[in-house]
Amino acid sequence: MGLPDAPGDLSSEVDVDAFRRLFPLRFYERHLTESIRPDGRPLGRARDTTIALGAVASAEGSALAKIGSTTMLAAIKMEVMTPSMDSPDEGCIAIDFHMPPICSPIVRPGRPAEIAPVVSKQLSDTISRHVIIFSVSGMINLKELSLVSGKAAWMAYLDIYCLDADGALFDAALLSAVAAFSHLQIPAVSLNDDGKIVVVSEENGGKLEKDAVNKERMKLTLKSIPFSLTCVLHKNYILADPTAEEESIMETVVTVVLDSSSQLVSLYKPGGPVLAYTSAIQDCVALTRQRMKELQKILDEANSGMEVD
Amino acid sequence: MAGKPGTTPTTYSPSPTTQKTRRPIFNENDVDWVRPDGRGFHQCRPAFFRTGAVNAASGSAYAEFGNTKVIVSVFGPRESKKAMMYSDIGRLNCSVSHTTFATPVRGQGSEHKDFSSMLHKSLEGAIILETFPKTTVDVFALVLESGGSDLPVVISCASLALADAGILMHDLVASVSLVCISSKHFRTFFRG
Amino acid sequence: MEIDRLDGRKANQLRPLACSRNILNRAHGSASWTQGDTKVLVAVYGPKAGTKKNENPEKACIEVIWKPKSGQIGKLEREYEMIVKRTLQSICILNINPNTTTSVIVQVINDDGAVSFTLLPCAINAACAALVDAGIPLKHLAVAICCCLADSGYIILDPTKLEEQSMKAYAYLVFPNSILSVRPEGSLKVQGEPMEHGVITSGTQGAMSVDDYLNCLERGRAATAKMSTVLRRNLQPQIAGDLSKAG
Repeated sequence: MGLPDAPGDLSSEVDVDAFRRLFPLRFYERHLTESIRPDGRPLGRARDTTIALGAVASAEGSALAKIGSTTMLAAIKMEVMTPSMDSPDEGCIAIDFHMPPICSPIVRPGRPAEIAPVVSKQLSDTISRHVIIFSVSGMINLKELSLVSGKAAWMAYLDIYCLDADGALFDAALLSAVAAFSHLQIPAVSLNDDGKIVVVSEENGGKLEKDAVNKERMKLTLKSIPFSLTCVLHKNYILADPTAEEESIMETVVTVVLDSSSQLVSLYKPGGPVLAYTSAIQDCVALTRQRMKELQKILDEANSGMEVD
Repeated sequence: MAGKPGTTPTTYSPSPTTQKTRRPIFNENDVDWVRPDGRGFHQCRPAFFRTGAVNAASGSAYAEFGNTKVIVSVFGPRESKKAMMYSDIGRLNCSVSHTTFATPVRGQGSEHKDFSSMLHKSLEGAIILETFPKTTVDVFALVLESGGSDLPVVISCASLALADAGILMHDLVASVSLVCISSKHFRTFFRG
Repeated sequence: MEIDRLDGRKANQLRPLACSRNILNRAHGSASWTQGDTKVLVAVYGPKAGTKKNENPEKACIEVIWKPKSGQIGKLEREYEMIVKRTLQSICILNINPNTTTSVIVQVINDDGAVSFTLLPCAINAACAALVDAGIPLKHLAVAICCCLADSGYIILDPTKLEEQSMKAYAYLVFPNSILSVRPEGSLKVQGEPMEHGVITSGTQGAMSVDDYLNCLERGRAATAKMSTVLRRNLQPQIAGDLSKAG
């Protein structure tokens, strides 16, 4: 910071809020030496996380994920497309991440946030995990999205809206996306006389459809679900699940994504003033392992809650 | 890279598009005064409001009327855009957009210009703009799910969000949409 | 573990490197970096007065513009812009020229393939050389490399487009170069590790085990040490930096 160093005992004289705004870094360092963060969390703990499934009735699958006050709403709309010649029996997933102006004071209409396309790209890398020509399938088996080989397949449009941006955007977005896929119910469809796929509606469901493609609503099988944790590095401290304030003051961010079979899906560190040494990387991975168990449990609970209904 | 970017194939929604012959909601000699969802003619859907939905904003509110779900955030008063002329009174800037999944058929998620200007018209009379000269108050609304009469819900919700942000107003603004059913045609109008 | 690569290189061997500086006379600094068939040209303009909106005016601001070989920029290029920007921010001394903007324009001249993983490391190396050419104050240099993990578990460095297709995971890594100092205590050590072992930037694609990643780090560090000598040699003013090879 360009500010001169304040005398050490200034903190006892000025108001806490004023000190926090004037010397944010010193304010944080004082907390860190006590191994606590201003919001009362220990360094390695993530904020309270909740998942609500089925938040949007107009989509086939949806979920609202909250990590602290960071809120993400993900919804999947299923449409029909003609599959490409290269993969006649595979469907497709299109992922888009939006930061509407409601989510943060820095986003304004007509001037989208710089970070939105980056998060969007990271999400599609993590979820579809396609590697150039031959595809190492990721969480979803695209063959399950096929309807009529070479003729019709599902196109899953996953749109994630950030409703409130308070740090760790990627973590919350990934969690909401995964939850939306776990909630997704593919509608029962049939092929009509014009060669188009139509949804079998409840009323004429009783009628025997000669060209039923999907006889009943079905769920996708999700294998190796990815979970992520973002950490902030500052000196020797590692802070898990940073808030927006923490991210802006201590600029070095590391995001680790592990899947349920403990494979490393992504280790993402875009620059930052602090260098990550092997030990710090291992610590971040260990924190992510721990966090993965928590998230898996939260997701399972959300899903079992849906089955009861 | 899921489906090479830029070459998104054309898709269509499998849901049956509006049936060619839509049954009239009410018959002309319908006299029981009950709507298909069990409401009387003068009854609103069950409503839910909550302020403080978005932490990052100066003020915000969430509103739910049946299936219509809306979030409104208010930012400011803050510095006006550089290109703006000097102004003795504050400015109000409104923007309403829909999510891509708000409607039964996937939309573009772009700004709804008509709604934005109507929201501006409904709010500017209620806000005491003289209290924040030279600055702008931004009111941004996002329709999460569109279940009918989106605009009145946005307007009511926005007035609540303004109050949550501590912007001085003459009063809250409530809004409802009405439909006039005659034997042949429908007409919709709004009341501020 | 010996494996044969299509072009006869060893697993740890890089393609011939070439770096030339000061090739554009209107720009304040410029450099091109060639690694095999991948070639990137970077121009630096600035520091110019003022920062962009949403940037901290108390520090120097860096702006990165990515120009692909052809076509429009998409999400991928936006991500590259952000990674290059953050990487350069971490090596520049931002307190020296507060409230200024330095523009870094990255022009891809030749790309090994459609989605080449060596492109980003190449761009970072070129940008770093161009910043030196423009005389922007830097803490140290950044050296970037791409590692690939094959199905059978071996790791190769600096893959070509053809090799990339048969790999299951990639990592691009950026390390600082070692600081040369006359005094022995000049070489910094952090947590018992020399400073040049710290990762500035890391990105991966595809799934691998954590051990494989750590393995990539090891290999990457060893290779970047060599690259950093090449870079250093190129940047010394008495040598008209044009061509040199690393093995």
